[in-house]
Amino acid sequence: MSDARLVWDTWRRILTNDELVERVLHSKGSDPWEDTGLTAEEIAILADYAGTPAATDTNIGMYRSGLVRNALAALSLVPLTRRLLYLSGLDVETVAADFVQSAGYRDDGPNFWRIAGGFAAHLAKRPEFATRLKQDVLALDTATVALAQRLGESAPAVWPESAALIFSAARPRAGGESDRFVASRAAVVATSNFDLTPWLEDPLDFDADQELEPSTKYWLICFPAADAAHEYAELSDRAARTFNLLPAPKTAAELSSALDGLPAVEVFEVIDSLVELGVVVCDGGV
Amino acid sequence: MSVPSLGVGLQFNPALTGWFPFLDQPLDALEVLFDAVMGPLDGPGVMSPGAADAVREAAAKFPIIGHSNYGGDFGFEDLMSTSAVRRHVPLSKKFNVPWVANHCFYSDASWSDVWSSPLQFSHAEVVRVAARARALQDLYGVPLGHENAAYYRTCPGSEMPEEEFLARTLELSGTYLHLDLHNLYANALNHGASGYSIPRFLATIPLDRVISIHMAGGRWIDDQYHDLHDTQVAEAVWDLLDDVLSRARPGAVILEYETQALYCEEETLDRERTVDLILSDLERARKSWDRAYGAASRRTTRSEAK
Repeated sequence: MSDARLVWDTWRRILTNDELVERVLHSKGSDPWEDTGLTAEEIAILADYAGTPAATDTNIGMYRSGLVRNALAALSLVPLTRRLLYLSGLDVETVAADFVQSAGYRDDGPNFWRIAGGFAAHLAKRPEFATRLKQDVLALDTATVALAQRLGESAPAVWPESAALIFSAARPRAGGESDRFVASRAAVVATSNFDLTPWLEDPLDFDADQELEPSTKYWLICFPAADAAHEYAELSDRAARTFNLLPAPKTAAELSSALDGLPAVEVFEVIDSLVELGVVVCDGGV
Repeated sequence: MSVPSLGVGLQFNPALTGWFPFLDQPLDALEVLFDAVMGPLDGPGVMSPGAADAVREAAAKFPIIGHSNYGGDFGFEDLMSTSAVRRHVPLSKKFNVPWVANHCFYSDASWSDVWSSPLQFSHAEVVRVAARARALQDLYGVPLGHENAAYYRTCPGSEMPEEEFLARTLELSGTYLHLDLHNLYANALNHGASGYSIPRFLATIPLDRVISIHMAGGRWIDDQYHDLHDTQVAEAVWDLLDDVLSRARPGAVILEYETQALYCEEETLDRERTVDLILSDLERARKSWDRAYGAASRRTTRSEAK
């Protein structure tokens, strides 16, 4: 009698292994199975599936087409990448099937950010996406995926949307010399070599043939709330540097020093702009 | 635990709201697939941003019933790490659902392997699955009904018919049944020759534990009948509904459609005809319900009678 857990594990091995699929679907009764490296009990399970080839074939087909469907669905989380793929002229189903196969038919199920990140990384290796501009876009989405996964593991105490509301209610801000500021974990800064503004403003429908100005740009990627989609904001070089200096709390004086002696009043201007977005908070405050 | 008597409803898929006017129907209940509206398991949110508005709008209009396809409910991972606990349970509380139904398949943090992995109908699994079902029902805090599966083959190591497995599990778990009549029909077509029997199934399961019913259609492709939900409700399934309603007292009958264009006699229908057929099925289901329980027995007709 086969243990249910062993059956499940063995079935999943079949689903992800082309050679086992071939053996299960096209075995003849006298075929030896010992060279599969499986135990006698696992071989008995394989033989059981091999005894119903039509049903097993349908099940394997459903599994693999389901992976392709899920991979394409996961791209809705990274609409820039999705748009690039759909405008590439490639057969998207074939590209998704290539990705699924390259990932060893692994079923990441509801871990859609992992699937989206894997798919973007797969596209980044293809010649159709080799231009600097497309690599910029894929990198931006890759940064979004990493941020989402980090927040999935550990949520911030206060989300930017709430932090911004609290800041707004507390105006005018004190900005004392002893205040320490820290960046929200719900945001990250990414850099691009082109001005992606028109694409970021319309990620579902941008024109991929549009000429974008080559220019170093800093993009704040932020999840305003747990159940919200991510948003982008363009940051100045100074604001981006400031945000990146704040993984740990710092006073305005410490920031001024790290920003090559930027005057305190200007440091507070930058901090204010980030606090207003809810992506920098006063340590120990909101 | 008690189950309210709602009536006839539809399964709601936010992805289909653009073509079928869900919110314009006088539905007694709307069944939401938690998997379709939940946030990714490896991200921050419980609910998908894309689905949030549509589900909130629906919840303002209809009682929401919860349904789980891919919760990992009966897999081998720690229950507390599953989508069922981390996403479906919070969603059930957010929408104050009167009950939840789930599926009798294996999965963990996976989706695509679900439909090929029906539970092993074995004595050992009765005990393990029942313990997991009871724990999950406790977390939901409302009745949890298990849906009988449609499958192309049973799990190796199975020792008893599905209906016996379900009946024994319920004895231990204190949970409920969600009876999918089209799954019964599909299994009878695919496995009737090897002994699958709808009359025996219905005679074995505790019908007083049936809290909800699914109705759907499907198609033959090659030599297998598929539970595709892409046709009108199959004719034989209507007869099953009348039979079950005469012997059980479910809280709702839910119709399932999962395509933007229904098939009918090998033809793909346009949107208008698809909508017409769904509305016609809804009306037929309401008539069956009213025949069984009376004209003022549904949530909407009770309101009208007040």
